[in-house]
Amino acid sequence: MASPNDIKKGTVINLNGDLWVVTSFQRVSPGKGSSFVRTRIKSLATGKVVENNFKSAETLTFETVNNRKMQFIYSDADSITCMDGQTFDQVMLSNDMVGDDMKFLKEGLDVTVIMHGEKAISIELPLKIQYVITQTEPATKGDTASGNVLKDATVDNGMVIRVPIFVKEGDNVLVNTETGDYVERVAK
Amino acid sequence: MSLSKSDLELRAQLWNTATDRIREFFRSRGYIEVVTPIVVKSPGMEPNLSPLAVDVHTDGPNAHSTRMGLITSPEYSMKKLLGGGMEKIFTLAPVFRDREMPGQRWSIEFTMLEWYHQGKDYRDLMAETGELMNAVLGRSDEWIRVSYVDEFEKVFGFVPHDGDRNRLVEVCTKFAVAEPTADEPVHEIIDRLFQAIIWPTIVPRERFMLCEYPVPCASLSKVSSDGRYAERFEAFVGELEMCNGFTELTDAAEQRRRFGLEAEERRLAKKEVFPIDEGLLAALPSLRSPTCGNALGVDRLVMLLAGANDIDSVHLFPPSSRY
Repeated sequence: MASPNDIKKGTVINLNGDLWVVTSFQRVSPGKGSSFVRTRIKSLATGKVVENNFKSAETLTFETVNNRKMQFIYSDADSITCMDGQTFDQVMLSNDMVGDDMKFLKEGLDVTVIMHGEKAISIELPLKIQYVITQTEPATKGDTASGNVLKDATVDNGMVIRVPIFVKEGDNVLVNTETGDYVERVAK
Repeated sequence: MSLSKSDLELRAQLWNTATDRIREFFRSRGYIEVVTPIVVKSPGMEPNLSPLAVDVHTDGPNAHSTRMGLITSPEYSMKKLLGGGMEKIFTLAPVFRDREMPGQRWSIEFTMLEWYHQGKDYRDLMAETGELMNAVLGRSDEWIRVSYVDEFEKVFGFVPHDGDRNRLVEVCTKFAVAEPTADEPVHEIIDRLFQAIIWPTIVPRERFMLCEYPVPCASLSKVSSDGRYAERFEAFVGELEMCNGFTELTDAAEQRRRFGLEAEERRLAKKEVFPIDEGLLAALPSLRSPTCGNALGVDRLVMLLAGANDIDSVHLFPPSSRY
């Protein structure tokens, strides 16, 4: 028995005998009203995707899944491939199972592959990933005074993020993979 | 501190910019900033909120201890000031809500902007709220208004009221929404239907004001003169709830009745029931009708200013690692 507050991406929920994997979730806690968890879940049997809201007070049944530490190797038009660095086992996952997390991937990244039996059903990224800034415009005078404290920057896997104006090309930054937010600049 | 000096300064500066602009906005409109107590005897009655309780011990000849709580909103104190005759007031106050999961958009402790204006209603307040957010964010956005009861009626064929429990249960079955339990309050059934069926159709609008709530979801707002809806609104930026504004209820008897219902809901949910704020009830009859008031989450406004999706990204002491 589990609570909707324990839902994560990759959690497998048993709803009346059907298995659904959580592809995205958002806790909602209104100022005046009961809290709930808004999810997008995908049927493991049919691939159908639905939106479902779970009240925080509900009780759910989660299926047991196995987590495997692997590395992201490459992606193509439909799928990504990850490899176990010890056994050299490889698994494939369709791009739509990876969803919005596709943009954070870069070669050699350590990821957790979520397995239901022999089938890879989802991946979990580290909460923060380090990237190198490959392109960004230098800050211009007066930016801060007008309230412009952020600018666009491209990082080493091609993703574009918003960073503070003091960040320069060649800097190493941490990015939060739940939100896509810049977290901080770090030493190389 | 794990953050670098430049990251710390950036975050501090975002808050300075936001609070400077908020103060400038209200002062230029003739509002007076007030300071209200944080530790109070009646911290709030909303069934879904959990005030942090504290025991306070005074010293001296009349030494005694009092069970108190940290405010979940400065609302009650603000309304007492209105009862004292103040017309236009605002405050920036730390507020506390226990049993929230810190991170993403929430924290146990956050900053609330509240303002009240006697003689104005929720429609005026919606306009002013849009202007405030545009002023703080340096934007000139249009804020679309979406009527909760109109949308509900379009989809489900009626405007819900307290006596409509059976009808709501039928609608749940028809739209494949989980059947209500026997003790589920009517306002929660309405909200679940709305969230499941209507919400996905309105949320693609980038910024909007959801207004005119069903009467069972009135909270502390006044019911419209035709009884169709409660004069309440919330502003959203995508899925992010920014504020909760009302034409305030000024009828003390009705307020006492609602507090009673909420106290009962708290008892059923085994939550601590704090005493009803008699000072607030005494002040209400002195309020002009209409009077409007809004509570807006400043942390979320700073998130928008920063372009951040996580509350942790705008704090010097990120909430998710504080507790």
